[in-house]
Amino acid sequence: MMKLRSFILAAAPFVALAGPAAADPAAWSWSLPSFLPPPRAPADNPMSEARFQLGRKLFYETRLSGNGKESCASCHLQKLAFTDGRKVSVGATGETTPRNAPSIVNSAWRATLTWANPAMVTLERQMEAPMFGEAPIEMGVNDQNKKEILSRFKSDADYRRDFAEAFPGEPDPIAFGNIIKAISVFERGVVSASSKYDLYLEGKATLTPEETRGKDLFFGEKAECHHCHGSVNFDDQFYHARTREIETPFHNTGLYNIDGKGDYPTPNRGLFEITGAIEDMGKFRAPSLRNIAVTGPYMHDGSVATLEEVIDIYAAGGRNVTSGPEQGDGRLNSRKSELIVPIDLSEQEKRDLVAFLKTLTDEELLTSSRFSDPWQKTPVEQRVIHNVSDR
Amino acid sequence: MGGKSFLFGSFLFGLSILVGFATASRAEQPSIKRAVVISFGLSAGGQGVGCGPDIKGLGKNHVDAKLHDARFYISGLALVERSGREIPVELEQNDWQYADTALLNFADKSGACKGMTTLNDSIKGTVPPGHYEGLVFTVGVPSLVKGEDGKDVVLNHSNFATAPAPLDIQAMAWNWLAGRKFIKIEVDPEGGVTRPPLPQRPKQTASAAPAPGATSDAANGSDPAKADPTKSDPPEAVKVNADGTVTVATWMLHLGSTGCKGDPLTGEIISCSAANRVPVRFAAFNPDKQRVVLDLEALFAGVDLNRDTGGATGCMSGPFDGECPPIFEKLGLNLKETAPDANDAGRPSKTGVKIFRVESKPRAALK
Repeated sequence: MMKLRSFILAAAPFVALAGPAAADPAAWSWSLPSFLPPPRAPADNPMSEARFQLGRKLFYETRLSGNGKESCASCHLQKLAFTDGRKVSVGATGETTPRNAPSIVNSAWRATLTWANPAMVTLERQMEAPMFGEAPIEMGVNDQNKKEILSRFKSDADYRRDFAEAFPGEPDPIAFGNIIKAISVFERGVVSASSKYDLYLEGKATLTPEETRGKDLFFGEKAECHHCHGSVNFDDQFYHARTREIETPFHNTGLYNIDGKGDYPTPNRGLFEITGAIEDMGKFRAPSLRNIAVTGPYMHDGSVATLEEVIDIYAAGGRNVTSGPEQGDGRLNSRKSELIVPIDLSEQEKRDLVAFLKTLTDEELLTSSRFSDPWQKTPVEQRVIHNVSDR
Repeated sequence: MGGKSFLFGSFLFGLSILVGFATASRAEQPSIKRAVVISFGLSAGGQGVGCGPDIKGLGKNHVDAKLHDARFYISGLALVERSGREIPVELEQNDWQYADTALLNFADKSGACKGMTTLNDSIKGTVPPGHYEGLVFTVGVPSLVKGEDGKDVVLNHSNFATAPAPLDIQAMAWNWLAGRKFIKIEVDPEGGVTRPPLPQRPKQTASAAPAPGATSDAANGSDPAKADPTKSDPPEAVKVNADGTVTVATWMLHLGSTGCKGDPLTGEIISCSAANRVPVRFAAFNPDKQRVVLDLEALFAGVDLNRDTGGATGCMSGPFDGECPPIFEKLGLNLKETAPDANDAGRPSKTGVKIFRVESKPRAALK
């Protein structure tokens, strides 16, 4: 069976023997490697196995969208580490979002969510945007259809049981507040800590010479990747249950410099769009690099297709856009982070970095039935094979 | 009447109206309260405005327009004694009113209107008996109020999915900014609103080959092009003109707090760089005979409703949106800081609010 090293379903005294059937649905215990401390969870939304399982169903539930055509999983596919492989995502009614779908993986340890919004400090808060947003419409829940959407769940005996179990003692548990809570618990529970690099840290795997050189470059003062991707989550907004103080930096990495004036293209001008402060032009959150090999295309707008190109851009100290309406030399953007400067990387060194980044892929995460679509009867692994043979 | 009342003190970020009315009113007028109804209206110059007929001659270019939406939140309502002392109106608690905040709605889904099924043009509450001469209120939802138990209650930044009415209206939630739209007024001008092309979204077609670095599963398994072929309805009618501009139907004013920042350690919003709440004061106001009118003619006097220079179509409180300066001028708010480090963006400006006036109630409404 699956090895689930990220979790142990807790029935406290006999953890090792308890399977899901024996587990207490109200219980939860994090079972994490020593380098990953338990994450913060809001006091009013504690983790529980029942909430996790309800959240998992709802995450994959298209009936949660206004027109029944989209679920959270439409833009967050497990096999792509919960991204969607698109430049930008598509909502239930066909509208595109301005940004590339961020991964939900290890989001429990992310201080701010989405690409550049310091107001998005909980998954519960962040979820309101895709669920209820009007510009663009993603899930398309609105004042007119929200009752009808709830009735889809109220008329389903399985869901009535699931909600009652996840929110015990509540007289009317089928409500949007609880839908949001359950999905948030599922998302917090989607943990990736079984990559080759994680196993290496625990002394259970060996890196190749190429991967080792890449690791040393990554964490060294030549490539300096670690300044923004140095946490155990390979980002710089890592926080956990016992964090007492947190900074939430955002960075302009010199991707654009429209007409040499420092601007980024609308509607993707980063933190500036929230703060209105010109010095925040083009600043975005440094994403986690866990599973980065399967989460392309890259950057906030999906404008970089491959990891190799990403590394070329950082080696050049930014991107020179040579034609079109976005023309301008991002390398010379006056608002660029002081950390982004040209790096003299050989082709071999670039290959080494890519090799190291690939060690951050967690195959268990991509295939674990614990995170998979509960509405699919066949295991994930078989579906993938089936798809391939279709072609 | 008979709705239960909360005793809430208001804590309005950036405003100096800090009223400890709970204790004051209790001490002086322990029991007898007088019912008071503050009526509101929507007009354009002398015309009444509703969802049916055209509004004549709106904006700098005097264009006819249809009302599309008109809702706003009012908080901190108080009557003013001759001495200048403000006595808060204790609001009846119902689906339109919670704590010291009320939602007014002038769009009832008829005509060209979106909005809500029923109109709501008045605020109901009680005040201690007294001699009142004036009226003050704030357009907007306060960040926090004090509950009866003395604990802070989050209002503007609460989750609308779990918030009590009238903070539960999704159309008035501003999810991305983690708060509420204080004012939502939208009109459809005759001839539409012509604007530069809508912001270019990255094109889907030339993209989505998974990275060569991707695993074979990902490379074979993703196939974004066919992810959901049924999702292809065009989002909304937008006419593309020969010169590359586009014409859309609706001019939108959305006012709310901007530049908000949360604390990841508590999960709460802690500050907003521009509060954008509008304080209003009338020295003379008789609730029995008069009402407060929001005048669309005054609101739109500085903008050409047929033309938009870019950004949001209309003004969505963006400090760099070309349509916001004339609107904020009428709202009596600083769109930006008046000087570097003045820290007064979203605060009342020196010129004052120009969109409200007091007028006699329509004859039919007089008692």
